[in-house]
Amino acid sequence: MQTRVVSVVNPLGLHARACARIVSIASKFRSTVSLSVKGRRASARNIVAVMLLTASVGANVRIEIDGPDEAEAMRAIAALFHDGFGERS
Amino acid sequence: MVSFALNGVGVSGGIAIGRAQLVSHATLEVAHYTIPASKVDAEIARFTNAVKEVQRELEGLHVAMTGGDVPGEFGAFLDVHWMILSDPTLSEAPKKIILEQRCNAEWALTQQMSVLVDQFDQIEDAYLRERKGDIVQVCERVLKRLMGKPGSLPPPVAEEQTILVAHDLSPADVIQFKHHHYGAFLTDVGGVTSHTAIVARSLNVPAVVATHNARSLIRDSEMLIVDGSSGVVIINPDRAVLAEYRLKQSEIELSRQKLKRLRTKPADTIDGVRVELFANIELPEDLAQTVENGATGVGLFRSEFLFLNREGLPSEDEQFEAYRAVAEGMEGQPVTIRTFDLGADKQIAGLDGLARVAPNPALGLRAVRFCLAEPRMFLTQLRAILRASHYGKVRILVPMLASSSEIDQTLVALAQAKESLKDQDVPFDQAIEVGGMIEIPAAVIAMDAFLSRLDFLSIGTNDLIQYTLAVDRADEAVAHLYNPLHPAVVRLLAQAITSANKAGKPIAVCGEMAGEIALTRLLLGLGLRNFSMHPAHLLSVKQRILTSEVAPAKPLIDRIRRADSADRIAQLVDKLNAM
Repeated sequence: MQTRVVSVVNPLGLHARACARIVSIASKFRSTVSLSVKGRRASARNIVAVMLLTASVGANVRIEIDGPDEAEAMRAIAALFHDGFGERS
Repeated sequence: MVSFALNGVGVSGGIAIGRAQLVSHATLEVAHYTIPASKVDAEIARFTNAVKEVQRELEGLHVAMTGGDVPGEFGAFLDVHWMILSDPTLSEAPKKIILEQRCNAEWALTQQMSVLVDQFDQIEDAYLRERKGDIVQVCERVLKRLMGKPGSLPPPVAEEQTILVAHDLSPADVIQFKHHHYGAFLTDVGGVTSHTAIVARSLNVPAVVATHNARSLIRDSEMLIVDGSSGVVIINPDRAVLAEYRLKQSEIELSRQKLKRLRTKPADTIDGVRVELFANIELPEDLAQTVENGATGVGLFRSEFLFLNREGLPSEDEQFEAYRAVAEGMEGQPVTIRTFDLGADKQIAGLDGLARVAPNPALGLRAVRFCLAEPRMFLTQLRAILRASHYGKVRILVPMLASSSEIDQTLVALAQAKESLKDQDVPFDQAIEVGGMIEIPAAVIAMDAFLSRLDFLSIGTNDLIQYTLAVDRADEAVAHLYNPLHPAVVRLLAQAITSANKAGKPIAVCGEMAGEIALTRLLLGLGLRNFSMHPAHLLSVKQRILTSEVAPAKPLIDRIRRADSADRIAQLVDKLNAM
């Protein structure tokens, strides 16, 4: 089990397309990935739930990953957040 | 149970007593009905299939886009929609709802959608909150799929006693309701000219619109009395009130019975002016009602029904069979088939030309414009109509003509259709009459082009008023500006009827004005001798004609033609009706 807290750096926050990228990356791994914001928790394979986390810019997101490829998955997901989902701010 | 009353606008007369059935308030109007236990699996399968089809549709769109110079943004949106749809919250949860509540798939999905939308509504960030739009769009896609292929709609126990309570009803509901016999319609919004009103009148079903909050105040299966004439709705009436309305209901039924005796009587005024009363029909099945109400012809056979609730285009044979059924059924009396009036508020899936969203559909590619732009579809229809003309007195009516070149193009298309049938030795009426709808002010102002090229004319007052006054009557905010008695409308009607009469070309009114008894004498006075209306109004209009006199009304008619305000015209029409 790996845990890491990242912050949302892109100005629009976790919008629909950002959520879609998280879901498509998370679905590539065998580990279970969950995200939580202010106590609300969602499976990263479930786009509607991720959208409902409503993480605006500056919010802290706690990533929890558990499974055989958790280290790799964590790197990929955390990178998404760091890059601001490919958006230039 | 508390008894209370609501006031709205009565738009279709009569009294209905029955139980409320609420219709969902989703963006798309969705019906709610119970599925028998034996059909639950099939209903779940119907849902699963619809989801799969929409997934494939999205994948297809995505494939079609990649490679082109489409911004990646669009593809990303399709991906988002695909993922949302694949999310178990949307693809699985409704199945559980179907199973647990034994409801139809549309309703289950709509309920699930509302749950999600409510959650989004609680989001503080305005931008993220608006993402619920994606959820709604995805659900709508699936709903449309489901509604395009309705499951077995089990009619509720006694339909005549079911009163539909909706926020609003869409034109697409029309055909669905034709196969049902609901007791009454109640809607929160709308006016005299809203779709609900038009549908209700055409079905001869009482309706009250603009009740503002009927849908939130009335609960499912509450007992209701709907008085479509006064606009009053009584919820949970006590015994005395119920008895009073049952009495009124039987009185109305009695006068209906009396009217039936007029069925075979010719429609002559007191001073011996003969009037032809024709019927407007939408489906071949409407023929029975047409004959029952003594119509001497079909003045408007709308052919769009062939497109509704189906995919793809109706084949020539399919169309031919429908037209022939009506031509034969009328036994030599005229049957006026209007070519497709598609576009504007009648969008049809599966036709490329209509797939795009026109910036202003009412002023866009609709009716004959659309037919001329889709020559193959038009040719198919013209051939089908021509073939049917061998079996009765068929006439062709072309909608939305504005100019001589459109008439000429239409006549060329018809000549081609005739030629192709001749080559194949298929029999048809060589002298088939071709008429034009007068529904654009330009057609009235420059009517000589119509009179010299066509055999007959028919005024579509609904559109003529809409285009003359620039008012969309389905738009609640301006519907009150829609007025058949506006001086411009009255003068256009007078001009059209006078010039046709002078030229010796038959002219009819087939819009709603023709079926309103309050306007019968006005139209008679303007020189109209052919009225075409929903069969339900034929006998009451006939009764009106039988008690009217044309000659003595002339001075009043002259004043109406000169009047400069709708209010003044309304006063004068009242006088005319009191004669």
